[in-house]
Amino acid sequence: MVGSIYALIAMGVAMIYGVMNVPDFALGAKAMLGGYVAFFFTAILHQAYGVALAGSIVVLAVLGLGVERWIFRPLTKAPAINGFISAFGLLLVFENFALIAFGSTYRRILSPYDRQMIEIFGANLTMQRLLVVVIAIVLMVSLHIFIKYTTIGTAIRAVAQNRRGALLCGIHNERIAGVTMAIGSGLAGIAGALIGPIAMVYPTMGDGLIVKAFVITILGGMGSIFGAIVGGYILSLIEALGAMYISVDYKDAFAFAVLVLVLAVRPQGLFGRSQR
Amino acid sequence: MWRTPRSTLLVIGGLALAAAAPFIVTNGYLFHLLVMSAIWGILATSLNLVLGYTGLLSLAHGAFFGMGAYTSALLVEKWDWNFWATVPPAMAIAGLAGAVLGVLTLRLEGHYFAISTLSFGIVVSLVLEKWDDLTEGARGITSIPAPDAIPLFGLGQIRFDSDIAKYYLAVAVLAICLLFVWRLVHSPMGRALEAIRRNELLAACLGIDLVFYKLMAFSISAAMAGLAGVLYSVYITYLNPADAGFWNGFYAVMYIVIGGMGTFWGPLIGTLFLVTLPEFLRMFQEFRLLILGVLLIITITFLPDGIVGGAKLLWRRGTQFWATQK
Amino acid sequence: MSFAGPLVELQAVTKVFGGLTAVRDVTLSVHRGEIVSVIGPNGSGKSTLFNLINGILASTSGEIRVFGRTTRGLGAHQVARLGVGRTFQTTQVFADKTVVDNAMVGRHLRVKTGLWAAQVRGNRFRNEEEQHRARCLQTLEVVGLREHAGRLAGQLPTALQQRVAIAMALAGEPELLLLDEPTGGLMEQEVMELMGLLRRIRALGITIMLIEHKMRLVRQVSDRIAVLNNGTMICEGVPDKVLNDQLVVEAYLGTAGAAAAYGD
Repeated sequence: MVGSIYALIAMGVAMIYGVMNVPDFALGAKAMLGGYVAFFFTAILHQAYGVALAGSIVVLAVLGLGVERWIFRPLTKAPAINGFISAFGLLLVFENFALIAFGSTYRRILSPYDRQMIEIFGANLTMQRLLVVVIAIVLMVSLHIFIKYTTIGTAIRAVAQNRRGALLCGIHNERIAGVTMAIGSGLAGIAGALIGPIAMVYPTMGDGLIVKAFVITILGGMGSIFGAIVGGYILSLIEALGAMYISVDYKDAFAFAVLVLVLAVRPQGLFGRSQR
Repeated sequence: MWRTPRSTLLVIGGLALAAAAPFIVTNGYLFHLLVMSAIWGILATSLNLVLGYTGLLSLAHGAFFGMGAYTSALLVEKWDWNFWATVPPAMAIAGLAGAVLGVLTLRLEGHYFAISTLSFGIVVSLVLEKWDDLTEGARGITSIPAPDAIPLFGLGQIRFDSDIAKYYLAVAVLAICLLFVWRLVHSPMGRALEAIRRNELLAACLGIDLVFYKLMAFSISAAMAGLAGVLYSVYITYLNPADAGFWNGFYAVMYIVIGGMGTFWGPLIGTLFLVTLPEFLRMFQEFRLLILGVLLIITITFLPDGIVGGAKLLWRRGTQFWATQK
Repeated sequence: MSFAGPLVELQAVTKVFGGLTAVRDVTLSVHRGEIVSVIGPNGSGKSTLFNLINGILASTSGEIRVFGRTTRGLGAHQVARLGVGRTFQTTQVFADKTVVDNAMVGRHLRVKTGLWAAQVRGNRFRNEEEQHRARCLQTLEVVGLREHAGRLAGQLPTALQQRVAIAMALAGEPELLLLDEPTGGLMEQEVMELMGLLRRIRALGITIMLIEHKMRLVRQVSDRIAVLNNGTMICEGVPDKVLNDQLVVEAYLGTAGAAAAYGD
């Protein structure tokens, strides 16, 4: 289940990196904002959880468009490092905005599914956890179909492969960047809304998520969406196993160990593009 | 090769000002900020070597800082070492960590490198927290004693108990570090690093061994960050794993970027500016980080060379304008 | 100390990128003192060939020797250290640094001072730095940029920027110079000046390999010409022989064009 959340965010990172060549470090914070949007919808506007989910996607997608237009587009000609740094600045802005607007107390998102239990293969799960996995899979499949079979999806793949070539084919790189960012941010947003009922919503919840997401994209290959998905599930599996058999304390360190291993043995990740 | 008369004068003036500061600045908290500025300034200067001159975004410097701090503090607390003797091992351990991390990650492309350094930083604070027996874990190390007094044969001793003494120590170390970096940057190695930042392929074709120079810069920078950590430990006298975490290094990145990435004085100016400014804008305390984030974005987008870069630009425009007026 | 054999030896060198064979089975030698031009239609693998020679790329198969040493496993900086300098098709200079500072970076290969010396700043250090600077200014003299020494490289016109790139490569005192389309974007007069520069460089004892499109330049300056088409070397020899070769003409003009050119 955790793997699904990791995977959703990692997909966003992979997509955005593939198309815009910028590692969006603020994506974790966007997930956090998604959580808060869901909280806002449920707790303050008293809407149904489903509406909250939809809201988190929409709001974050719009935010993503804005971020692409105002934050990353001016930096296309600058050295790659600048985009990274800017994303950091964005992370600070988002987190502290949330801190100021919502305070640092952990917030609860009330989801009807959190109360219902279901039995699968002898294990008891809350419906919420099942919902997370289901929705994540639905999103992954939809994204896959979108990228493979629609015009825009093909354009996205074209830009990811070769920016200049795509430009010469008449593709508006900037619009594609905007779409990609919107999709990536939307994915992050719903990830936050999904995990909210389980892990609560608080300003720094995105920090751990984004670091793991980046490790995953490296594991899976930095431009590969499929790699991100696979990587997400692999990492959560490794963490769970590691916590069970080796040590619970050092759970977070497994991500790093995996990272070192991957970088030493196969730097381009499982499905990434080779360099030399 | 020596500096121009004007800049020599400026430097001497700066040193004099720094020396007089404890007597000019009466506000206790502001003075505290000055000490912190010196310490963070050392960290920022060390990171600038890697970030500004070589073009590598390292997020591990907070960890190197913490490793230096913890090494020194533990050696003094648990094994009764003389403070001064702890400095070489602290720097060595931090530098070694930098070398090891560098060997593992420097062949990687920029983004991969940055993430790897970040992960390293996380692991270090995690280890510091969980390895209770050695590091006191989350409780932290308290009551770190002041540096041992240095005997001046026949004339008594220099004591470091007071904050003012610690201030002078920090400023002295800062000055030494700045001199070191100055000489390094204005040398063939400095030219190699700057070439690497601007165009790695071209640098390689000109015979510059990318991995070697990146590793050297990274290790030296890590050792210097460790030194800053040592000073931090004796000034604040309390350490916990969060001090080795990601944020110190990240603040340093911000100070560098806003002060002027890749310029010599940028890191120090950025640090001074951003550490002391909030004190004057106390009403905005809550918004401090938010404003910092916005400032970071604006700076990196519109003024990538930061305050120093902007000042140079203004100076050039000003002199050009003045020339056309004649 | 000077190496007597061929400075560059390519034996059946092939480079495959995924589905594309960029260089196929090329065998070529370059001897000291020669100016060898590599010509061919766009996309025929010329730049890739240069990248293979100076170590930016590793060959898929075949043997490459530079100054008698195999380049397999060597990185670009190591090949550079053997005595190879290079410029690129798209001019690569450090735009925000002065011309002489650019040359100083190129001088890196000849620098011996270490970290400690830089810190101590004794007389030896200062003298060496001055010597390097003097040699760089001499190099600028050779390429005709002496008067622009203090200007920012990025502010110079394209033709002069290309010279800066050449100066950078020369500053390391290479024995072999690889120039990739140095006349790119140059006008007639500037091409003539470059020809003069090439002769001056050769007079210094430096061997040159040249990728070029301007046939007049190639004919006048080259000792030998190698022609690439679709990655294969289709002809090689002295200019008269090569430029009249049927295959070569066809490669450039296409078969119908060749027929027209030969008046059939």
